[in-house]
Amino acid sequence: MNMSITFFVLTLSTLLLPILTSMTNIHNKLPFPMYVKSLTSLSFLLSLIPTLSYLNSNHEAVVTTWNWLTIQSLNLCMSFKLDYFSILFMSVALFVTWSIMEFSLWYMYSDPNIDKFFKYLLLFLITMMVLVTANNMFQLFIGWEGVGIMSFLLIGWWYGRADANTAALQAILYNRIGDIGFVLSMAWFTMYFNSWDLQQLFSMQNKISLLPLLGLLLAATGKSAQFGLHPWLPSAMEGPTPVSALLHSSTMVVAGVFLLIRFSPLMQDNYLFQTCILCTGAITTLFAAICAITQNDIKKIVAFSTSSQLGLMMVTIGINQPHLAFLHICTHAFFKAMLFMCSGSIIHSLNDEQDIRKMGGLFKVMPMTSSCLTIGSLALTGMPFLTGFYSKDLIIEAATTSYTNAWALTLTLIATSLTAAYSVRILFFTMIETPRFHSSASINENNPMLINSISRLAAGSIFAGFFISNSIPPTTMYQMTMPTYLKTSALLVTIIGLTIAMELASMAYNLKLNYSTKTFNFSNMLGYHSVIMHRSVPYKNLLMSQNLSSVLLDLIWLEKVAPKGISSMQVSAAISSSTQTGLVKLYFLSFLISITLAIFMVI
Amino acid sequence: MAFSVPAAYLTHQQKVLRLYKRALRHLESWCVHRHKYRYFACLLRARFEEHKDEKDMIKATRLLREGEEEFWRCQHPQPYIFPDSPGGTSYERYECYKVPDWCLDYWHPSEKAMYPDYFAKREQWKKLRMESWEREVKQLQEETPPDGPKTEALPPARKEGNLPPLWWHIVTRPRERPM
Amino acid sequence: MNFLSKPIIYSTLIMGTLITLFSSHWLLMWIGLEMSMLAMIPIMMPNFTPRSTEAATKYFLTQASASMLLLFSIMLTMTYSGQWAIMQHQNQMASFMLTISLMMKLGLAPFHFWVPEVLQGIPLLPGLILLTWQKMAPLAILFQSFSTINKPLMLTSAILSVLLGGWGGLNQTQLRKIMAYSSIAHMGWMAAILIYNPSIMMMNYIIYTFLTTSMFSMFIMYNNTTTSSLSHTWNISPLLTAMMMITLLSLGGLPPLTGFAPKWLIIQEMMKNNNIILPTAMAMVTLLNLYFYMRLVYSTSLTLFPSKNNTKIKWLYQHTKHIPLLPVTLVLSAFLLPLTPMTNILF
Repeated sequence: MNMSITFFVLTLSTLLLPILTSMTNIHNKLPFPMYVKSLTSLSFLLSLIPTLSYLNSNHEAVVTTWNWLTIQSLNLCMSFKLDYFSILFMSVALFVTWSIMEFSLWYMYSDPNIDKFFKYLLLFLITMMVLVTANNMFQLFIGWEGVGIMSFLLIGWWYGRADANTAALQAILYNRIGDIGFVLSMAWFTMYFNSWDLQQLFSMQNKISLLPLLGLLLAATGKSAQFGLHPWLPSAMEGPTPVSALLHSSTMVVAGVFLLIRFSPLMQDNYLFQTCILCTGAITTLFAAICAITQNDIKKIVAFSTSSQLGLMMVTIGINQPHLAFLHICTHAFFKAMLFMCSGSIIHSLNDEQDIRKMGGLFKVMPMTSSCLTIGSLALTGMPFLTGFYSKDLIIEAATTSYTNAWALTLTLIATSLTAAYSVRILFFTMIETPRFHSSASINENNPMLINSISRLAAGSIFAGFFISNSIPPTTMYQMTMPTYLKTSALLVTIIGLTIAMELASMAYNLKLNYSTKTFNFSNMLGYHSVIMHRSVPYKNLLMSQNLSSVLLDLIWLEKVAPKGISSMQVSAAISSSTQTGLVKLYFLSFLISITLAIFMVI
Repeated sequence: MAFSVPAAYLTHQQKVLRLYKRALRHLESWCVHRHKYRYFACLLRARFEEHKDEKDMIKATRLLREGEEEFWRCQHPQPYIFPDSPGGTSYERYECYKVPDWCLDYWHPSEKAMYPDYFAKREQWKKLRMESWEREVKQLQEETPPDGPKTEALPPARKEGNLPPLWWHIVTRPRERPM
Repeated sequence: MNFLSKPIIYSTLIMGTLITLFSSHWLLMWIGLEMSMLAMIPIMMPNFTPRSTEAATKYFLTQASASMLLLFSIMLTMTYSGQWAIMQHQNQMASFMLTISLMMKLGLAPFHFWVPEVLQGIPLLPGLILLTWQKMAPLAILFQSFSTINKPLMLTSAILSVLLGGWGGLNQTQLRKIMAYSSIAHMGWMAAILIYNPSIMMMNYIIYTFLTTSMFSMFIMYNNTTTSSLSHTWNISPLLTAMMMITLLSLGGLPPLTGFAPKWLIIQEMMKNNNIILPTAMAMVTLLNLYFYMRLVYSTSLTLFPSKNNTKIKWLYQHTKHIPLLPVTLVLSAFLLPLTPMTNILF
């Protein structure tokens, strides 16, 4: 059925249209942002055709269109891979981006550069599409770098703000560290497999060594903000809220996980590498959950919950269930984007106030936003029969029934229970109780652009999981039977976490003043990771370099040894060799000694 | 707030009052809910009230010092900062949209023609500025002590009919937020 | 002194050297050396001051002992080979004796002590003769017997000469001593190349003679013997300061000038003979020489030296001394480098 390929190409070209014609006045009826939004929704509708065709007849395709470059035996083609992952992800990403763009129309309405903003969003989306549909590593790399650059531009959108610039730089630098891994893998594949084509790489999966896989893991760690390279993700909240929603919930940060899913055929028999992924993911999910639990900035809480969910996806890949991880990417996109948009709505209504300590009572004034926030949080915690449940429950089940690292599993379960805790915390602080915000805030959420986009995603957060998990063919065999306590473990830990959190909150609610403890500080200061890695390490490094350059090089080599040492040596030699008294005795002594030595030499 | 370091030349009273205000503001970071905040704010007030009639300056200074130390010890790792204060989440955010006032002079005549009222008024302002500039500078020179100005605040207009020095910068301040 | 004595003494000096150059008989050669040495002594002390007498005595003692050693070496050769003709030395001991005696006469390194002391004690013109003409005879002998010379001995002496010549000059303000140390260093370069290619040695000698002659002529012109007196040159003859600078830089061996040619050729020739470390070391050590030449340049022509002078317009007066050869030697010591291939062919 060639129709799906046609519509796929149409989807991409529809997206490209506003970029290509941005200099012309082709959209004179509509403002440019509106035009971009409409084309994105059109593109989403077009992408539904290949998706439905795939769901109906399981139709996959590889489109190779144009021979780009041939370097001896290495052939680079422009080639698209339309399989389960890319087809489904495209529809999801387009749906989410459509909503986010509509939301941006409202949120960025007063921005003078809104046209540029939409161009950035669109370019970002296109590079993400290139990334997910790429059939060779080179094309994948183009998309990979594209999202990196666009995230840099979008995070630094308010370039007059020093913190935003720092955050943008931080994002691009951490992503460069990940890129080292990606380039390493690419280099390894050219050297040993002589191909960047995915099919050819997968056909040689038995011959692969650990090095390129570790490179891929490093790349995924950088892009998906896994532990060690995570600090850029919370910092990236400096960008406008739609940017956070787009970049850091559904598209860019899942690119790392998507990369590992793409290359999962290479690693399915490599248990050492799977353990590496598993441990990375488990540490990340727990660490991010711990950090999320004491944050006060609403966007930071959501960002850390994203980080935690990314860790969960890595755990899923680590237990060799890439399809499940992909399912979680898709479901997560809906409710995470919606959570960001709800917090954006709150922030905007409260005049840029992001601190949850200054919110409260919003349930009365913003019913729509609060309802959707609640739905999103419930979906995030894995409330049965909401979207999150269909992937999260399966993941926990698969993890508990697999023969895997018990420590990593425990960490994951703790993180799952913490998810409930921080989700409840957001709801508790923003919605109930008396308002704590300034009374001058003019709150009005009755804007169709806001309501439509959020409610569309809310519908997605409720039903998408059901539809996606029901209509896709099971590609890996899930565990079918298990004891009741394992079946309910995900629910149980969530409920336990929720209960404990509620109990603690009600305990601290009344008349008890606790100053910071060590554990609180650890969580609140993000595990001191930024302090150590961004302050003391560069400080020590610069100090050492300064000492080396000023003391060792400048003082010792370039002054003491070279000029002063040589001159003092020459001066003393000059004095001792030419301070002779003109005694004839000396002449004959030197004559005598020399002639004696010479005679001895001869004899 | 926490970053306003007590200056060396404040009176004891000012120091105490600033500590009290800082502590009160800081308490908001710890006690989120209003009822709890009110209770602990009352306690805080009571602690300050207890020593308000302290006559012995040695003891008072010691109390102040202890108060500062306690404040330092009990500070919040993430204190609440107003969004547009330094360190806040929207601080400097709209800097990039600020357009200096002189840019208006470079508008094309056709563009200027779209806002005839404003630009007519603006021309008058500019004329006024040219006229009053000498007087403003003279006043500034007269009122500036030989060792430099004491404060950053500019003096008001002293004479009837005069304009305050450098009034132009107040009148033509760039927009704070994008419109 | 009798007015006839001067021509006789000078002709004896010239004759002695010429006899050495022309003879093929060892004894005659020795006689030529002795003649020139003995003729040199009255030239060195025209005024009979104690200082010049002391210098002449020192010169006589060292040269006489060197001659004694040379004679000893000749007798050894005679004993072993039975003939007086100059030919290859079979006997190594004799070759050693010969080399050491000639090194003493030339003032090469371990026997260099006499050169600055003697030169400091005598007037400028005898000094010039001592540094140039008097070197010719010993060098001629070395030139003829270069193939039998012990290489380690010669090279050790060469590097030592360059080194001590550099160090000695660093600590001096007396021009004659500086020129003496400069001579020692140049002799070191000649000794180094002698065993590989004596033609270049000869060329180096000629160029060194030009340079030294120009320097000494300029000294003689205003009777300069110290750095501070040299620093008045700007007052007397501004043109000469520039020429002095060029000549000194040429002595130091800087590229566009004549002095570069011998250094270049020597280094190249030694490299060709797979001797790389020694020319490198010599080139580096010669920087010491360049340093004190530069110091003279600095005090002469680059700065106003802090020394008093009574009249500031000396350049107005007519020169009383005329040195007719000075322009020729100056030009030769400055601009001979482009003619290097020609000078190379000459020798």
